Amino acid sequence: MKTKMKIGNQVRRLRFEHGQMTQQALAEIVGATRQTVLAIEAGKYAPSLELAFRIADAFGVGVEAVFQREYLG
Amino acid sequence: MTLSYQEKLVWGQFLPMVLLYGYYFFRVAQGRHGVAAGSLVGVLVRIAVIQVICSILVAALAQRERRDERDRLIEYKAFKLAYLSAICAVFFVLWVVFSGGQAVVGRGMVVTCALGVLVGVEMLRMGTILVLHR
Repeated sequence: MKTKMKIGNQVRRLRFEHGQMTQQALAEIVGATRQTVLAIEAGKYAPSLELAFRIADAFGVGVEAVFQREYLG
Repeated sequence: MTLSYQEKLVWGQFLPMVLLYGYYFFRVAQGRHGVAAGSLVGVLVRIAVIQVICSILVAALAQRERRDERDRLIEYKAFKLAYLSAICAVFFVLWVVFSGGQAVVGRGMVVTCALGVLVGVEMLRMGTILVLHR
């Protein structure tokens, strides 16, 4: 049986660890809108692989340091 | 609540449609004017002009943002929902016409319903975009 999975992320924490980077600044670096960054942080939107890698690159870390799988149930 | 550039653009298209088509259908429902092509063309022209003005104002006043993958995904979902609804509504109108309903309600009402379907589907598309952006 397929287990339900949620994609968690550390975007908010990483932003603050990178000189209190604003959502707008991160959005401009990765080529997305501020609303998309906001939705990702809130867990309302799971980005494409390309955007996930761009976000990881913006923080200079691997994609698994930014996004984690969380199994539900 | 801050609205994104895309949301402002959609609101600028959505509100004139709701107000002017709402007024038009209200008048038709009251029988004040029928489905005369002239009155409909007038409404369409007014909506187009107001939508263009709204788009220019948003472009001039709001900070411009490129559409990203989430915007495109939202548009795709909204379009899919509207398209499926349009298919159902068109089949319903065809069913009314071919089952003899046209003789009961009149051709004018069928034309008004067909226009209502188009307007309703477009509003559904825009409404879905606005809801999914939140």
